[in-house]
Amino acid sequence: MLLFRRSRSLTISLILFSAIIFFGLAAGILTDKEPLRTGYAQGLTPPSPQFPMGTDQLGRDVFSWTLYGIRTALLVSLVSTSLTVIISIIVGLPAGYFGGKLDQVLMRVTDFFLSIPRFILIIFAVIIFGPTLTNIILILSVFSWPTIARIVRAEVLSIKEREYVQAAKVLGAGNFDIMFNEILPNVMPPVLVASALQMSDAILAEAGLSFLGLGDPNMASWGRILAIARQAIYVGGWWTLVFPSIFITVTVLSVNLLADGLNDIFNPKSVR
Amino acid sequence: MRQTIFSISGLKKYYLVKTGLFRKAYIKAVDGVNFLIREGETYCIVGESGSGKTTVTKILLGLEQPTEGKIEFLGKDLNKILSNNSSAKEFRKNVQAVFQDPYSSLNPRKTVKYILEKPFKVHNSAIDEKTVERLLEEVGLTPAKEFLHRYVHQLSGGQRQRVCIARALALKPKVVILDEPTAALDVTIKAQILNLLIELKEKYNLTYVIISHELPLLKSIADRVSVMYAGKVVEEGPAERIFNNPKHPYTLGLLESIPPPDPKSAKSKTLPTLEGEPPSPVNPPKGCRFHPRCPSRFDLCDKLEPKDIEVAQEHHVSCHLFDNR
Amino acid sequence: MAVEPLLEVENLNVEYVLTDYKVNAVRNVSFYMNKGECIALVGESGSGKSTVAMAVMGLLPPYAKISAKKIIFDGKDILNADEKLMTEIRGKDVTVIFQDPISYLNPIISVGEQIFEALMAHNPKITSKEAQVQAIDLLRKVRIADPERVLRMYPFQLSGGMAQRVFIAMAISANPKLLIADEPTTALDLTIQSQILKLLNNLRKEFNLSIILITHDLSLTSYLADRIYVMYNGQVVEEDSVEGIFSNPIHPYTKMLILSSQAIYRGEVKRLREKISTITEKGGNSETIKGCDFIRKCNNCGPECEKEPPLIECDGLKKVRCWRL
Repeated sequence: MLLFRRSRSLTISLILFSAIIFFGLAAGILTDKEPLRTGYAQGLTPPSPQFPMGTDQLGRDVFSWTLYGIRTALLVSLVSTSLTVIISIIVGLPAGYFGGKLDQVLMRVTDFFLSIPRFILIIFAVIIFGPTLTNIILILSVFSWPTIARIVRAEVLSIKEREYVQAAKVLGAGNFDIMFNEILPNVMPPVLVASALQMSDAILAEAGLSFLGLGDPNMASWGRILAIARQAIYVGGWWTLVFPSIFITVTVLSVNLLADGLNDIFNPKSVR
Repeated sequence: MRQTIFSISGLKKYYLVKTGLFRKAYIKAVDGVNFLIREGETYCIVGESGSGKTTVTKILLGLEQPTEGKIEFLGKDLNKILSNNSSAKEFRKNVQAVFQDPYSSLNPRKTVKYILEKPFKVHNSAIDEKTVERLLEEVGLTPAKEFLHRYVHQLSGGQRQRVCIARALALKPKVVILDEPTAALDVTIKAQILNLLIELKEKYNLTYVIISHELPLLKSIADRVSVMYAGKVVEEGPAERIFNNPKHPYTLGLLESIPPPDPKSAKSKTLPTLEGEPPSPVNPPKGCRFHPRCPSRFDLCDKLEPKDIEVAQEHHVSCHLFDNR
Repeated sequence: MAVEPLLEVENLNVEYVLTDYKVNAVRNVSFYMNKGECIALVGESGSGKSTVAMAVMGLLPPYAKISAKKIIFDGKDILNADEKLMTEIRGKDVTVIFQDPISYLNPIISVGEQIFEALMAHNPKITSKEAQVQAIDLLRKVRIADPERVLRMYPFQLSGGMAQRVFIAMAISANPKLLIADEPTTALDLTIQSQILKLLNNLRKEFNLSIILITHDLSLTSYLADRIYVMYNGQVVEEDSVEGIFSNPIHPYTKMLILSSQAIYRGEVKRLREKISTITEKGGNSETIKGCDFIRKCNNCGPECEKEPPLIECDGLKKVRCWRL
């Protein structure tokens, strides 16, 4: 309850997020049907006790697909965002701290990445390297780190002038010590907030790729159901559209609220 | 004969600024100063904003490089010391600092324990569980155990400054450079911290270099005082003489600006004020930099920069009034 | 013949109510001031002195809960006043100057424009020509030598002293009856501080301006103030004429303030060690002590001190919060 008063967003997002994770992990228990297996029913069937969210044209169980889809979405977004943060810190921290030529080079690299239409490049990359889970995760990371790296660098620039950093230098601490022990912990708050937003971005990106048929065919992804829904709704199969959409929305919303909530926590002056 | 700790001569620090698309100018933060700091003394550098005292501090601590001038620490060139890793570390062990703002000079995300263990870790010094506790007790933060796991925002201003002092003393340095150590503190706490500094100096035979604009405070602790104005030293001498028998008009004006904590004497006369403001560091006045504000100026003062003149033993002034040729 | 005081505050309480905890910033504070007087609220951080002034002005954040028996300014009840009345009074009859003048000035518009804004706020029909004349006049009143040039400048080009003068100029633009000066010289150099003090004193005499001076530096009060309210932990612990406070301090906290200020002024901080007990400052946690705040730190306490003492009248203007008189 104290948390609720401190930040409504954080509380709500944690509740939603926990629920989503629960459903994702418990998918195997909640349903006995395999997500991508065809032929559970004869084509499109509406929701029923046997198929709580109905089936698609090939008899695949939408309920199972939606639940297992949670795993895909979270796996891709968490891993790619983590990689993004790691790369961003490795690039942004020295760039901001040392400045000079290193900073110039690294900033031009990020400029390059930021000036090109991201999603198009992601699509091309997936086509070239092949739509596997690992590739998708790596590609998403590669095209997302520049934004976060800029934030890291900006924070480092302001923090390195603080007196406690000067004090560490006067103590004789080495550059790596200062960067990782003094500066990095203070850089993290805004970076975490931006990463949470990045995560919701990644969920949508992965869904987008699968929608276009570029997702990993072995993974149950919400994007792919939505692609199927395109035809299904014409013959009345609304359940293929509605249920996955609700799940995507709720997941993305909870991640965005998480970002909001983290911001509340890290900014003690924002009293709700 | 006491050892010379710092010997500085002809120190200049200019910063380059762009004043237009193609024009450049120099901020002459420090424009030719000399200091001689000896072992065991409390050397105070006094000045207001724009005097250059903060820049001098940064240079003494090796955080900035001088534009010109010779700086020697224990007889060796500071630049050479800092360019070699092992002698630089040795320097750091011997020359520590306490900064002005006790809030921003401590990492807000670390505990007191981490902050005080750090000097030992950086220099690979032996440490046991009691080391940090002993340090805390040394600076009056008792019971020590209560403070170990606190964060900066859980400490008051005076407590934070004590932690900063503890950090500076951890490796038993020779010299502690204090940049406005009490400026951010309340009056009663100022007195306590000053007392602490005096105690510790006597106990560990430290050399202090104190940079401050709080003139009255320094009366209790200073051995020698150097008064800076607009990047130059205008007067330097034993504390006793500077406070009781100052010669330079700026020093006089500064001392007279201190409001006495005594209503009878305060109200019987108007508070004498030095009019005007410190000059722009980009374009200092010609001749003596203080002349626009000087009540004793005469025709030579805006033409020629005054020389350093010895008016008594180890007491010298940079003013034409004392140049009797 | 009793003259109505200009400002009368009785039993003011301010509580900050935040999500996780409550803080009683001001507890049962009463004070008054007559026209043309200068009173000082003296205290260290956490004493509540600034909160008192801001409460009177109605400038506290929404999570502050104010309650009082009465707050009467110039005959008007402002405790229960609506926002309309407060807006009229603020800036016109009561104005405030703060510690760091540059951060209170709009950085993107010129000094002249800001003064015009201030003038127009209280005289919407003023023409720009009239405003120009009045602005120059105001800047002359605050002893700015080159008013036309300063009007064209931007805040970042002003020095601390200049900015404070501009700020004071805007504050007196509507001929206020009361000026609240909250730590007006804390961020300024010593020589500039005495200039501003002199200015405030002159303005007071010239315009019969009443001033509330809020400060932690007792020495400033000896020059400007007629009466002093010493505050500690949200309460007034002693009040008296300025001479009475300095010559006859009774409350242990007042004694400590006076001793510290005088010791610092005379350079005798070392002797302070024996005279005072270490009164610990408030840490990050607000502890609630039952009874008198000084119960563990006073040499003179007795069994009745377990109950919080009220302000007790002594002779003359003096009141002290202590049972043992």
